[in-house]
Amino acid sequence: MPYLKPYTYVDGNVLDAANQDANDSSAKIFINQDIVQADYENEAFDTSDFQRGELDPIVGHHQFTTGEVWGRFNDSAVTRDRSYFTAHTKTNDDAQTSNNSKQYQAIYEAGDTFVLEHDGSIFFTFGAQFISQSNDTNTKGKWDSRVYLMVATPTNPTPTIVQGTRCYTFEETSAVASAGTKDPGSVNYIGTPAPRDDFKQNRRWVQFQWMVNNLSAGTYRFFVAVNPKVEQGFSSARQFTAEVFYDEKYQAV
Amino acid sequence: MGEERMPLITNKTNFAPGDVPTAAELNAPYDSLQSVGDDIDGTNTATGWITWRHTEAGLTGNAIANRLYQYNNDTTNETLYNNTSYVTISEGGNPAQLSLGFTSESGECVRFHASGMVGESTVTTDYDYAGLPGGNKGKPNYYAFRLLLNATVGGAPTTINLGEWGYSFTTKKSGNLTSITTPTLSGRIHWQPFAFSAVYSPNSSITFNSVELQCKVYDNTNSLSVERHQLYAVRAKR
Repeated sequence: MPYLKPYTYVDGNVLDAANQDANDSSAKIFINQDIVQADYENEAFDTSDFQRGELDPIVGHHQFTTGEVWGRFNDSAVTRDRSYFTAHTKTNDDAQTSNNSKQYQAIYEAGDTFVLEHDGSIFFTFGAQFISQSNDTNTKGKWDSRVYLMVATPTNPTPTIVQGTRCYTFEETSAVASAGTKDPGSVNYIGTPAPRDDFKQNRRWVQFQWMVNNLSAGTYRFFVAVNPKVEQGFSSARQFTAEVFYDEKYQAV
Repeated sequence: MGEERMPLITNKTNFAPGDVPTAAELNAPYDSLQSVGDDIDGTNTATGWITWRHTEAGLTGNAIANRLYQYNNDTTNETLYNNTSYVTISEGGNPAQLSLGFTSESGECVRFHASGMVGESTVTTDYDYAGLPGGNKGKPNYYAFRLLLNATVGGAPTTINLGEWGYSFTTKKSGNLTSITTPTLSGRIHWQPFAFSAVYSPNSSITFNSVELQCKVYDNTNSLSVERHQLYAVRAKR
């Protein structure tokens, strides 16, 4: 609120030290730390008054004045490393395709560590092409390798899935065997069951936009991972960005 | 020297030894500070002084820079739609809708994001074999989403189409038409995620009431299955 003078001087009066101190102190407090939004003229500031953002060119992070953006930006001119995943790390053939056997394998360049200075939310945009080869030794079927955004924190280092980001990539197979819990689609001539398409169901563009809400200040590891049910799969073209909004729950200190 | 500042204190007496200050002289610096009122502006402040700490929401939640609106439905239930005109996606009685409820400035920019998952749609036709050449023969394969903004413009309620995004039920293409007369169905594409974004910036001040995520199919013999879905809006106040 505007500054209000606590004491008005009067000619001929002996100046009281306390009154003088009150005026000086109130002026000092107002100028130094008590100016608030109501004291500013409307529309007095533009973007030139804002603190410049900061780019870390090594990892592609940019801290904007109004928030922060992490991640690898999509650029079709950039060749991505193939990020392979395999179910062979599971203990046996049955475990490879079991829904109950979960080994989430992180996708390269689709994750980052976030240090939130205050409470906030993070908005993730992810897109990637996933290609899964057929299993050689296990029953061929419509195995669905599930893709999730996952999060780990220093106090809870075991990664947990963000359920709303669930996506699927499917085994390449020409077998009719019904195996996985999700049907990726099939080639069925009307009225005549036919073999499943060999190549189309195993190439999936996986994408999501998802807001993780109400995060407390702290350190988080968010990454996209796949629980593979195929012996070999990989992702090539990818994009992953994350945008931090400090709007929610932020309380000035 | 930097930019000249508008002084907050305009009247201050430089006293000399032996001076007897008057009340007016003593009152002057404090009165001039008080007269500033709410007129502090960019000339009083250093360039680059505003940081995100100054622009975010306080206890009132009234963010200066950004304002988020979000609808997350991470259901694993599939809801079928065979409507040929747009209807708002609704799962379990929960419409995919954001209440916005703000009046924008002219030229203000608001962005919208939506994503979700298409499940195991019921597909009976992906090509109009009986249709006339050059007609809508390929369109039965289509389904589409729309973001619809409900706004009040000039005092009158209206709707604004923020964009439409189309997808295909099957892998049908001209190269795999095994016959132009024998009906066949190409490979269905189940469990296909969708995601899209739009930016809207009105030319004048309008009231943003709500935004809805909608869907439709071209041919009502096909039913689109929609599973989880999300809708977001980010208001970037100027």
